[in-house]
Amino acid sequence: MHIPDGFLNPQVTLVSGGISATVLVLTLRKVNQTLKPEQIPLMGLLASFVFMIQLFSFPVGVGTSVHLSGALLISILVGPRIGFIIMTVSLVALALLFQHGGIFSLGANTLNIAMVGCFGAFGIYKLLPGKRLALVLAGGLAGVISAILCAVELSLSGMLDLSTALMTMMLIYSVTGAIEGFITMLILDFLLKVKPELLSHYS
Amino acid sequence: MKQAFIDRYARLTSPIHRLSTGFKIKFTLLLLALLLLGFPLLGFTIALPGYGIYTFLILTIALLSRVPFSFLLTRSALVLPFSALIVVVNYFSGNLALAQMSETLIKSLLSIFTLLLLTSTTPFHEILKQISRWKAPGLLVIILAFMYRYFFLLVAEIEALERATKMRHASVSGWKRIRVYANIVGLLLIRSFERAEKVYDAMRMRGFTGDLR
Amino acid sequence: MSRIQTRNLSYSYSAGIQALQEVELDLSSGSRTALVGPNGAGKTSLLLALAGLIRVSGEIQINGTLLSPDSVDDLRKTMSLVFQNPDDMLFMPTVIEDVCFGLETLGLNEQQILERGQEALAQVELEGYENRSAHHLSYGERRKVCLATCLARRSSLVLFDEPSRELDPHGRRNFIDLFQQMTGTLVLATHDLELVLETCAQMVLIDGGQVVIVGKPKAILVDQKLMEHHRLEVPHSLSRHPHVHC
Repeated sequence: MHIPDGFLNPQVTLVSGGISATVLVLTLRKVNQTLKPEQIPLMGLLASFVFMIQLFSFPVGVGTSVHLSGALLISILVGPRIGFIIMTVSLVALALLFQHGGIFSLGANTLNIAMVGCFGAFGIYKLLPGKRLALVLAGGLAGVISAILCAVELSLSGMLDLSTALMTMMLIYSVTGAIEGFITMLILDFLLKVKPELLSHYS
Repeated sequence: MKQAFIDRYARLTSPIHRLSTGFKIKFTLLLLALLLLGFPLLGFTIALPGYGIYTFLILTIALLSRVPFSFLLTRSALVLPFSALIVVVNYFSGNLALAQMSETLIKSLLSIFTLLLLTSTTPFHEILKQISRWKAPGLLVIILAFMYRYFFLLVAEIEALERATKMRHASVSGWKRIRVYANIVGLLLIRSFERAEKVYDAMRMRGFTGDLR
Repeated sequence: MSRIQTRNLSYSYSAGIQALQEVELDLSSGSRTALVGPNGAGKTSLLLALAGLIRVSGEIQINGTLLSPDSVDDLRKTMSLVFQNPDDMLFMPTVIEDVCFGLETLGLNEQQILERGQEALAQVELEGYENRSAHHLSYGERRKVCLATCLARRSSLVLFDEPSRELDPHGRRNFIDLFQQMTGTLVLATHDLELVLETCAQMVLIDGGQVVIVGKPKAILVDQKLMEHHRLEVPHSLSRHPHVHC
């Protein structure tokens, strides 16, 4: 879920913006040291892909639809650092071109979606034993972290009271996170069948 | 998907479209800073005339820009689902403060409207050129450029795939459809990787060795 | 202008499929050569090899310089490759940025780059398209922008992969007109046999990664047995002999 502009107070806006900007600068510096030229167009194409799947809701019947953030998937394919840059760029474009999320709330959204999805979910996934179930668990747990962050940001801004916020957000995010993990698993299954060389890190 | 024309009004001609891109970006950020950081610190009652002037200002700009109001309003309405969620949660927990909620909604609508004015009077590539002049990291600028370019192709591809699956899985729902969705996404991902290889070849042919000015 | 010589050129995909087998060619500078062969014959692989985009065994010399990892950057300054799919080579947000991409590596300054770009767009009759985006152009226009990227580089060797594919008759004619005006060594891989007859003085028939025969298109394409053996056919203009005696 992308927080629009107007829902966060100045303090939360500035602090989350500061954290995200710092992490972005550090990640860019790190990535630039080892970047291979062929990764540059790949990052562009993958950003386009992530941008697309964040917009595209797929109906699964009975009035419900699913869509992904793509953070966990991308991180498994190209690593969490490059994944984080791709996710952040796609959030900027979503805000600018599709009004999904605001510009001043970009810091908070980067924190909740890109950082938690790439470093958090991927980190949990790496720590957990097993592969397929680990994806669902990592997605769900990262969803809980996202929920806590989102709840804290909104309640500090006076939008919701903390305990209600925590409860509702955790409920929504852990379910959507686990679904994301599950669909990621299905996508990886498909890739393993069709183009396994993309998954040198995953097996 | 009608969204395919993301900056479709950006090529109209109007006094606003003619303004320099750098000025428009700076002015938009200034307005947003005022609205989202300045006014809230003053408090609603003191800032009230400020909101009035702000609204008048951006409506004037919108009028001058010749961007259809219907477009600006429907796009601004995208904040409503999130607002609705907050209202519902507050309602059920008994914390609904109407005054505060309306202030938030006003801020939210005004800021999305302001941003829309920038992106629908300025082509996206002009914005990219400008931020690159301001020394934004080259890697971020080139990723944004590629993303903008290839987004349209992806839209076309996903539409074709959707049509093809609809033809074959018209009656499938639930679990099987999730599988179909996963396969579509997987296929698009593979195509993105393959296209990236070809694009890299094309870049190499034109002397690209990895330098991002 | 560039002379191309290859010796013992072989290439196989990672899956072990042999795409090129001991290809020996000598294309004189300024020549126009068509690579003809069925699907999977190795035409695209040969173009990619000449462009130094795939690692092959054997030798490629372009104007006497051996193509190697050390020389490839310099050699590419003199050559262009027109891809089969225009969307693979038009990757920038606007037409002019695409046409001018990489021109600075030829040692041109900003002013010269812009002039080159505009000149190339004028050559393909796309003046005024500078700030358009590739995704707003028709397929034929996108193909023209691809040609403009090569024209702007003033390459002495241009490699074309299926240049007339998916073009409507008018677009195809446009391409032929532009092709006829181009100078330099031109190599095109194509299934469009009429195009070969019209534009190329020389053709190379390849199949299974091997060169079958090199010669004049009119002499080769008329051989029905040879054509059928390689999943080709005698082009219409050669197959019938209209009797116009009245």
